Amino acid sequence: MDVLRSPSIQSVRMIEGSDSTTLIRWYKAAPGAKPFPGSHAFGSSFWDGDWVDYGVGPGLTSADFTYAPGRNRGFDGRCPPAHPDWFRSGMPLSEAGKPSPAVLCCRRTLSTSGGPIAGFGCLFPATIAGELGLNGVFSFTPPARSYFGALVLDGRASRGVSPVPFAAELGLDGNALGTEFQGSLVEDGQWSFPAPSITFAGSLVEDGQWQGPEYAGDLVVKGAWDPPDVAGELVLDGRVEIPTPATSFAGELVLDGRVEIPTPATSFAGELVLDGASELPYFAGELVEDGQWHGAVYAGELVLAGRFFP
Amino acid sequence: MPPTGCRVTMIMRAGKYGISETHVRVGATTIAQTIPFAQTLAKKRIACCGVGVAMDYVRLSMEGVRRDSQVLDAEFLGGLVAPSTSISFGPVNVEANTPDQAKASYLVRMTAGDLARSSLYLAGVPDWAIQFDANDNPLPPPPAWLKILQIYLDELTSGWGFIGVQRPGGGNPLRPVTKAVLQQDTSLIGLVTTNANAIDVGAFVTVQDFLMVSRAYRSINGNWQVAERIDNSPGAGQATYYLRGTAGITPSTFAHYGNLFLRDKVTIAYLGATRRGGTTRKRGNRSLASPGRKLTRKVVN
Repeated sequence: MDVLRSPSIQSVRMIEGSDSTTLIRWYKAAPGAKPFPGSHAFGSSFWDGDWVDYGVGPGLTSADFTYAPGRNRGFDGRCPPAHPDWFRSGMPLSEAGKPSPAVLCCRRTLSTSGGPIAGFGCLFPATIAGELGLNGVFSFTPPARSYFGALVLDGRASRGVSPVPFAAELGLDGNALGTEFQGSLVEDGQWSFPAPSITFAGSLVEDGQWQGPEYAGDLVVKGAWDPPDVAGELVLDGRVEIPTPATSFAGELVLDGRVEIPTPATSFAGELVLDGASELPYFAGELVEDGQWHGAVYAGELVLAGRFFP
Repeated sequence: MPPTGCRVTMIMRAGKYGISETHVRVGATTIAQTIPFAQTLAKKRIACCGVGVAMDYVRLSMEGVRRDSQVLDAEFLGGLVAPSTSISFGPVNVEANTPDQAKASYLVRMTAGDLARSSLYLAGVPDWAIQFDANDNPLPPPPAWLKILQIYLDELTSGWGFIGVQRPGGGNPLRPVTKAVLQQDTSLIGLVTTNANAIDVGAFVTVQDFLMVSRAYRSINGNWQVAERIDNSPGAGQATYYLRGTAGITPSTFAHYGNLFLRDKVTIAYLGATRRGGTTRKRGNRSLASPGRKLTRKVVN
C-alpha cells in the first residue's frame, strides 16, 4: 500500500462521511508482494505535509501513529483486492460489517508456490492456498494446477486442460470451465466440465447449467444439471437430468424442477424433497415431493404434493 | 493556499543503503497523468547512479489531496538499474563505476527565481564524482557523466519543482507589527498587526526583523503557530495574534518591532540548476557504516 521504514498502528476511516474509525496495522510486505493496482486513499501519513486535512474522506484520520511490530501474518500480497474502488472512495455503507473479500484476498493458509499473478487479467497459479478474488477474466493455462481456498469470480473462468483440482469455495458470476472441483461452488452463470471423470466434493449452488459426471456434497442447481453420481445434500431449483446408469446419491435431495433418471439401478439414500417432476427408479430415504415422481424402489418416508410413480 | 501538483518520490537501493529523492510535478491534477513523467524522471535519475543502485519504487501522491497515492514497483518501472559501463576518467585512469561512499553526495542547487531555491543532494552517484584533490578542492567529474547529469537536470527544469515557503508579497502580505502584548493567563506574546485578511488560529506564521535590546534575551524571530486571535478592530483589520510557545519572552526586551507573515507552503517550479560538486553532508540515517569521508584521487602512473 505504501513505502515505509517503520511499521505502526494508525486510525483510519473506512466509510466516507462516517464517524466510526478503525485501527489498522502497517506490516511488512511479503517477498514478491505487488503494489496496490492504481491509486488509493489509504496511503501513509508519513509522506503528508502539515497542510493535509484529515477531517474528511476515507483513509487515515490523523498523522498520529504508534510503533508496532510489523510481522506479516500470512498475507502474500500478490493478488488484487476484490473491490479496488473501496480503497479509492471508501467502503460502501451497505458492506459494513460483512467480511471483506479485499481483506481476505491474499490470506495464505497453506503453502503457496506458483508463478506470477499479473493484474486482473490472467492467473497462472501452480498451487494456491487461500482466498482469491477476481473481477475480470480468469484462466488456467498450464496443467496440473490445484487450488485450496475460496475463489470468487465475477467474470468468466475457463480452464482448457486437465486435471485441475479445486478444494475451496468458488463463486462464479460468469462462465467457468473446469475438470475437477472440491469445495463449495456458487455460480450465477454457466459452469461446465467438458472432460470426463469429474469429481466434486463440497457445496454447490448453481444458477446456471451444470454438467458433471460425479458430485459429492451439497448441490443447489437453478438450471440444468447432469450428474451421474451424487453423495451429499442436493437442492435443485431447475431441471435435473442424470442420463447415465449406476448413478448414486447419498444425502438430502431437494428438487424444485424436473428430475429424469431414465436408466435403472439408480440409488438414493437420504432425504428427498421434490417440488417438480421426478423420475427415479430407486430411492432409499425420506422423500418429500411437490411434483411428479417416477421411481423404481423407494424405502423411507415419502411426502408427495404432486403426482408420484414409484 | 496549500501546495498543488503531484509529489513523486523515487526510492532507490544501493546495497544496504536506501536513497529517496522527491520532486513535484507542477500543474499535475491526477496521478495517472503523472506516471509517464515519473517514469521518465526515474529513468534519467538512475542513469546518474553508480553500479549496484536500483530503483525499487516510485511513489506518487497528490499534494493537498491526502486520499490519493500510488506506488509503482520495479516491475512496473521496467527494472531500472544503474548502467554498468565504466567511464573514462581522464587520459590515464579508468575507474569502476561504483556508487558513492556512505553519507556523501553530489550537491546541485536548484533555483527558482530570486526568492526560492532548493538543495538537491544526489546520492548514489558514482564514487569518482565526489573526489577532491590534495588541497581539498573538489575535482570535476568526467564530462561523460556530467552529460548524463545534465540530462537529468534538464528534465527537472521541465515541469518539476519543489514545495517551499511562500515568500511575503502578493497574496501573502507582510504585516508590520505595531505593538506587542503579554497574555496574562498564558504568558504568551501577542503581536498586533493590521491587515484585512486575518490569519486563522492554528496556522503557522513567521516573525522576522525584530530587534532585541540585548542578544542575551530570547528572540521572537522565527516560526510560530497562532494559538489565539483577538480581533481588536474588525473594521480596520486590526488583530492580536498570540503565538504558541512564546511564554518566557518579554515585550519589554523588544527594541524594534518587526514583521509577521503567514508561513504558507506552495509548489515552486525549478527554473535552473547549478552544480556545486561533491559534499559529505549527512542526509539522514543512510548508513550502517562509518561517517562520510572524502576520497583523494590518486593518479596511476
